[in-house]
Amino acid sequence: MQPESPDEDRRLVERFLRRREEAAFVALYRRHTGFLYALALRLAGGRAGDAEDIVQTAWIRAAEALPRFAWRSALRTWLGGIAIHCAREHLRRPEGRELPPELAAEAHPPALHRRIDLDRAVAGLPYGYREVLLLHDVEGFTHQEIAGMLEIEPGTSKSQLFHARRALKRALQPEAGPAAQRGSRR
Amino acid sequence: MTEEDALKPETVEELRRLRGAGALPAALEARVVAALRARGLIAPRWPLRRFSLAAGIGAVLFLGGYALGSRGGAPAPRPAAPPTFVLLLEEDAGFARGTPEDGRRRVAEYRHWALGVARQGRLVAGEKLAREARVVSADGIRPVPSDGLETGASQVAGYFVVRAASLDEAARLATSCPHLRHRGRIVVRQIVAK
Repeated sequence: MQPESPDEDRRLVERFLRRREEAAFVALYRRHTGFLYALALRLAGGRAGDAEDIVQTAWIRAAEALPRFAWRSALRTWLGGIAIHCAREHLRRPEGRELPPELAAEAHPPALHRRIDLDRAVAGLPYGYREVLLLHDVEGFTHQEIAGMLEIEPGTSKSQLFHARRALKRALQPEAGPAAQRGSRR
Repeated sequence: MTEEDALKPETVEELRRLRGAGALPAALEARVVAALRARGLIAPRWPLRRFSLAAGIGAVLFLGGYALGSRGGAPAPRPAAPPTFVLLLEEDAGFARGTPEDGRRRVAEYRHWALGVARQGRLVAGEKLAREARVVSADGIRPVPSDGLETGASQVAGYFVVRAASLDEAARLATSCPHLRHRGRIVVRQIVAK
């Protein structure tokens, strides 16, 4: 997980809450939206429009709830949890949605195939697996942090990650046929 | 078997490289800021102004704002904005100006009301008007008396611009404005769309 100075976050939050100053909010936005957007984009299976909507809703909810944030976790962890919940609400029926065209491997040169395969495989994971895999293996959160964000037990996070990685591995198997795809439900 | 045994090392490394990948849409920042401002979660661009009791309007406080309707270059498609209405806050000789202490309480009153309207996404603008004025007619220009009121006349002391579905809805919104509690009057009129 990218290190972000907690002191700087706290200073900006206090400045923002004092006068709801736009400059303070924009500073917070620029510190954390790269992570939020990337997370939202992958949760949304690569759909940029959905990811933007999720990020906007997440920031609205965060700005409303900031006065009650007690700094029991890092700000980034807290924001990630909000984005996760916003994504779940926004995507509603995350399983069974089609992959966006930009993840269609046929349109890309061979050099990108591996990356595309990985993106497609992650996007094709069951939503619960996708959440934990993205938070742990991509964004670097600990199981303790993930448990707080998803309101589950750390043990559940570990179990979900195990199953997510197994499903991902099956989806990435070369020349995957129907048998190999059974472990990676869409 | 450990968790990591389920994935090849290169896959684990590729997953880590996915972090933060993808360009952040440049227009998203402006869109998010506008959304927060429309809900009163970011302070408006124009500073809050205090009224002095000596000016006669006492404790009226207006928030500045800006039009939040569709404009060219809006970063994300939105449905057509609802119509806008101006709320003209009038006072006449019967307006309850109150004491200096009343003035400070009224600052909070009007501000609280305006923030509530902003949180509904309805507040477009609001301004206090200075007491000094000129009346211009075919007969020329004449100043308004220093207390801001001519005998038997009322004067517009400020305004809000709000969004509402209809004139009646805008008028219902105005009934909650604290200006009425101080024996002011509010005239509501729709702004004709261009």
